[in-house]
Amino acid sequence: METTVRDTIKRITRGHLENGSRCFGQCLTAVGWVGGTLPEFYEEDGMVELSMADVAASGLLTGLALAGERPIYVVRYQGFQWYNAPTIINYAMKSKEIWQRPCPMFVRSIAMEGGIGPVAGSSHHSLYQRMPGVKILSPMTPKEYQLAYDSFMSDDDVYYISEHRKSYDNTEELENIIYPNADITLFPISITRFAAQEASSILKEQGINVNVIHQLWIKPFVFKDDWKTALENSKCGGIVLDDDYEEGAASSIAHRMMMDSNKKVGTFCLATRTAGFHPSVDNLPPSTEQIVQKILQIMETA
Amino acid sequence: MNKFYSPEELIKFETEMAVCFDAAMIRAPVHLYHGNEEQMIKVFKDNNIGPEDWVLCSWRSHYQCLLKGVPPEKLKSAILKGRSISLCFKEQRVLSSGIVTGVLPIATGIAMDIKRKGGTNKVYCFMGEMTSETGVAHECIKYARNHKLPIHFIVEDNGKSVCTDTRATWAMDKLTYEGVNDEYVTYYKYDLVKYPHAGAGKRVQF
Repeated sequence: METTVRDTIKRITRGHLENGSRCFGQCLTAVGWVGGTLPEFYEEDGMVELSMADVAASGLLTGLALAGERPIYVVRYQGFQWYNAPTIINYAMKSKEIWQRPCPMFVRSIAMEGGIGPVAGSSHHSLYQRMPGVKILSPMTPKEYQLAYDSFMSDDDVYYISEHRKSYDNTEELENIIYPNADITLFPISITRFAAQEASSILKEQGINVNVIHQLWIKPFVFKDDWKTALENSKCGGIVLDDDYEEGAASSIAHRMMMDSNKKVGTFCLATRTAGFHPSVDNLPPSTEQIVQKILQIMETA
Repeated sequence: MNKFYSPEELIKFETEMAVCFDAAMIRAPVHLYHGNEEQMIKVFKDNNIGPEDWVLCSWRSHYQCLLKGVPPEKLKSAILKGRSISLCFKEQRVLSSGIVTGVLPIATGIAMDIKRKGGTNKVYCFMGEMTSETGVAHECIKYARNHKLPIHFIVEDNGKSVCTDTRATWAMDKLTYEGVNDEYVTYYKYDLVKYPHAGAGKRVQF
């Protein structure tokens, strides 16, 4: 049987705990075990419930990390990062720079959408991306998740892992799609990577070549040479896709690519409004259909 | 073993810092202690706070730094560089923060790690009485007590938060930890009359 992202996270967590480290968060052992990503361990095994205010729990994790433990901290809804960020950003992420005392922690920050209202939903990696002292990855495949964990274990920085629940069933590795003379290049982040691939396939049938260059590392962002070549060979430039708001990582990455290339790079992200619970007022990441329409619009006006 | 200062030595250091501040040699806020020397020394002596222990403080921490073993000249240098409000000395295991409640959960987390590793050292976390009434303080102290963590919280009551009367703020005649002195909490009261909340009493314009 192929390995899913879910099973990969569960295996990594099991190994982390069996090696003497611990995993913390709210409602970890509740029904579902965080989307099935946790082994059924309890406090005595190192799976520690912190049923307290997020701002206090993230402080405890910072103390643990300062003292030398490499904790995994599970934030079940990425929107809750707004309540966790004060201590992680102001202490854990600054500690190495200011006091030469590394504070490595692996923050699992889990996004999802669809009727979960104005606080919990979507990705919020931009909140951390603008601050120093953190590395941010958004793994959507089993190998990418393993790479993220291995990188953390060989490093002493805070790692922010921008997950998405809809990736948990995924077993496939996502390869870049690069045409010699593409019409446009997509740089999708997080869950938009799947929709970007589908949009590329749909448009290929219409004779439109759409590059897809997957974004795993949000920070540090490295504009690779082959990406630059692909962008500069794209007739209509590029688009960064994200399920966070536009004014954040997506705009920052687009800016970097524009500064380093001769093409325009736009963004297509969450709408600039708050999500509600009802489907009519939800705020979802760009869908396959929306991406297709966006590309067609750009090509019409090019 | 950390050096045990006398009250006079502590006062002398703080007086020197006050002179430096009033002479505009410190281009950042300072928060000076006075009137609690006996109690502060007693906390360090009674608990036999040693080099392996951690001390976490708020923005007012000169006495703790000295009693924890930070060399006076090193401490003075950091204060003159404007770091009084968040003094951190990793070698002496001192961590301070200018944020209300900032260090409380961090202290609790460090204690969780010590317990996990079976360490014999301990965390000492200092806070003012206004901080002790916050939700974060209640969560951390409750968690530490119930999980039997190697941590001790010291509530220093000077009756006010900056210039605000703590008891009036919460409409309480008696604060939550007032008079509590047990395995996890030490409470003491003192009058900070010599110095204002910040600075040394003279208006210094930078």
